[in-house]
Amino acid sequence: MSVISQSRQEAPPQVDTPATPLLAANGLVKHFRDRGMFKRGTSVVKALDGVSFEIGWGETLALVGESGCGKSTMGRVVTRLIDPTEGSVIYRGEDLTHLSGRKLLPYRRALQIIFQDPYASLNPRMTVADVLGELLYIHGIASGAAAKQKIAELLEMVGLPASYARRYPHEFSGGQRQRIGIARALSLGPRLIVCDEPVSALDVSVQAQIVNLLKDIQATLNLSYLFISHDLMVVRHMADRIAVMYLGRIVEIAPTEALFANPHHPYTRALLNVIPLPDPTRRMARKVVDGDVPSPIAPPPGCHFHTRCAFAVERCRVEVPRLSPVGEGRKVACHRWNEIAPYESSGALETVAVRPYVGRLQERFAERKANRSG
Amino acid sequence: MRAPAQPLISVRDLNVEFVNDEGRHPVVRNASFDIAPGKCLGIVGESGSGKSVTSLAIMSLLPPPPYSNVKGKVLFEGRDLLGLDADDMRKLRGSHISMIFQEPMTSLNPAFTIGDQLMEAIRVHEKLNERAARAKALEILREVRIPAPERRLDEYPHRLSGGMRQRVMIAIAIACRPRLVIADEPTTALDVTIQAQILDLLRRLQEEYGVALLMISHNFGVIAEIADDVAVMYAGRIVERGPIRKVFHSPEHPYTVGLLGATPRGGDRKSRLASIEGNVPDLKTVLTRCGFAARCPFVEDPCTTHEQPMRNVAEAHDTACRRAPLEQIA
Repeated sequence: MSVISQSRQEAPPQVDTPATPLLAANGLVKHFRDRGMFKRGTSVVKALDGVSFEIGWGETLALVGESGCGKSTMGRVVTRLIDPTEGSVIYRGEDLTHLSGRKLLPYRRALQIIFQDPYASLNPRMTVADVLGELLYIHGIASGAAAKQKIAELLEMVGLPASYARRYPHEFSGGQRQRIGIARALSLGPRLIVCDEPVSALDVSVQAQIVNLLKDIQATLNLSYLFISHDLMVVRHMADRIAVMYLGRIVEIAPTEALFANPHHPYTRALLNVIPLPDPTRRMARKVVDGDVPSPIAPPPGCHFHTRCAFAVERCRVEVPRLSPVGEGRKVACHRWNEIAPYESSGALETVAVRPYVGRLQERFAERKANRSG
Repeated sequence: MRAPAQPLISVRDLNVEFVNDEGRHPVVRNASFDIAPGKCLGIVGESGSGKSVTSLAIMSLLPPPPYSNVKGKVLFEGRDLLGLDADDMRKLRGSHISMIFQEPMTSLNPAFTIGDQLMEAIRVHEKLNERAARAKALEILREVRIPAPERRLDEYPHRLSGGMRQRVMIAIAIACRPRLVIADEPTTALDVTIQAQILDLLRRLQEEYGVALLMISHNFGVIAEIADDVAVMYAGRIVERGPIRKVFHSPEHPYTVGLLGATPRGGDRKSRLASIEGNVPDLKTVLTRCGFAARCPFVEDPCTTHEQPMRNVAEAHDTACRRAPLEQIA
C-alpha cells in the first residue's frame, strides 16, 4: 500500500499560469551510436539535432517528416522512454530530464504514448483486463472491483463492449487493438498523449474511426496530443499546429491552415506538392523533389536540405539556418524564405470538393452510427 | 466498362477459392474488367477485399489445385491465360506481363548484385551474351533514373534506399518490355516524396512505351493520381467500376461513398470523417447477399437475401448496388 499512497502524494506540482505551456522541449539532442556489424569503430546517428517546441493545453501539435527525420525519437524522448543526449523536457514548468524511478512515476502517468502497431505493444498472453488492471494497480489508481469498474469505463470510452475485457489481443481486429492501445494510454489519466503513427497501419474506414475517436476523447478530456505522422492529410485533419522535421531538425512550425496556405520552407513546399489527393481532376501538376533523404549518419553540412533544394546558395551549404520567428506564430529555418518565389498552389491547399449529394449520402453513415449507439 | 478498340487484357467472371481442411473459401467472386494498351486500371479496396489475389490469379501465381481453384477467363492478347500450361505461362511472365510488389527488399535477393538480378531477368527471355546483357541492364537503370547506374550494377540491394530498390524492381519488371505491368501497392512502403517519384516514373513508362498498368492500392489518392479507370473491390467482389472521374465525383456504390468520406480531404477540422461501422463480412456469407448490406445506411430487404449483380448506371459506369443511381436517394 505504501507504493500507492506515496505515488498519490507525488501529483505533479501545480505551477500553471497561462504562460506555462503544458510541455516544452528545449534544445533536445539525441545521438545513437551505431556499431556497424562489419565496420571498425562507431558512427553516430544524430536523430535529434537541437529540437525545441511547446505544446499548449488541449492542443494538437503534429510532427511530420519522412523516415529518419527523428519524429519517432522525439516521441520517445518526450515520454522519457529514452534519455536525451542534451536538452530538457519541461512538463508544466518542471524539468523531467533527470528524474528517474519513483520520482518519474507521476509524469509517466501524465505523458502517455500510442504506437503504430498495437499488436506488438500488447502482451499476447494477457487479457485486456490483465493489461489494464496491472497498470491501474502499479500506479495505485484502482484494484479489485474498482479496477473492474474502471476498465469497463475505459473500454466504453474507446467504443468497445465491457465484455471484451476477458479477451486476448489476437481476438481483435487491427482497429480494435488500436482502441485497446488508446484505452491503455487513457487508463492513467494522462494530460498529453504522444500518438506515433496511430492510424498508419489501418485501413481507410478504420483509420477514420480512430481519428474520430481521438478527436472525441480530446474534446471530452481536454487532452493534448503530440501527433506523429507522415500522412499530411490526416495531420491536416487532426492538428492545430504542424512542425515539419528533416534529418533531426524542425525546419518549419506553423498553425495548420497557415502552413497549408503558404508554406515558407522549400522542404515543406516539396512535401505539400506530393500529397496524393483523392481527386483525379487535381493530379500533381507539381514539381517532385529529386533525390532521397541523405543518411542521418552523415547529414549534409549547413542546411540539411540544401542537397535537394532548388533555392540553395553557397550560404546554405555552410551555415546552419536557425529556426526563427517570422510572425503569425510561425517559425522557419531557411536563409532565403522571404527571398524565394511565392508558393504556387499545387491544389493541396484547397479542400477537395465532392458533389453535394455525395456529401449528403456520407452524412447518412454518421447518422447510422448515432442510431445504433442511441 | 468502356469499349476500347481492343483491350490488352480482358478478365471475365474470375472466381478464386482457397481450399483447406475447413472447406472451400471464396475469395474473389465474378471479377470482370478490361485494360486497353497504355491505360491504367486502378483496383482499390481494403485489406482482404481480394485485390491482390485477383492479380496473383492473372499471373498464375496462386497455390495449385487442390489448394486453390481459379475459374473464369483471363484473355491476354486473345489467349486465355488460365488455359496455359506452366511452361507457356513462365515464358509470358516477365516478357509480356510483369509484376511489382510492395516490399522491394523481400523481392530482391540479398546475395546477388543489382546487375546480376537485372541481367538474369533479361537473359531468361532474350539470348544475349554477358556483355550485351550488362549494357542493356545499364540502359534500363538509366531509364528508371537511378543515379550513377554504372556503380549501382555492382552493388548489393542492402546498399540502396527503399526508393532506389523499388526503382530496381521496376527496372527488372520492364527489362523485357512487357505489355502489362501489375503493380501491387508499389509505393505503400515509401516516403511521400519517393512515392511521387515512383508514380512519375510509372506514368512516364505508360506514356513512352504504351505499357498498360494494373495498379492495386488501398489509397484513393494514389489511384486518383494515375488511373484512367477504377474498380472498387469489397469482400471479394468488384462493387463499382468506371472511369476514374465518374467514380470519384459521382460514386454509385455506398461502399465507395463511405470510403471517399473516410478519406481526409482538408477543409473543416471540426468535421468528422465518415466512418463505416462494422467489419468486413465472412466471405462465405456473401454468396447469398450483398456483402455490404450489414454496414450500409441504404440497405433494403432484397440486399440481404440476394447477391446483387453488377449493372450499368451511366456510360461505362457499373455498380453492384440495386439502389443506384444514388443521387435519387440522397
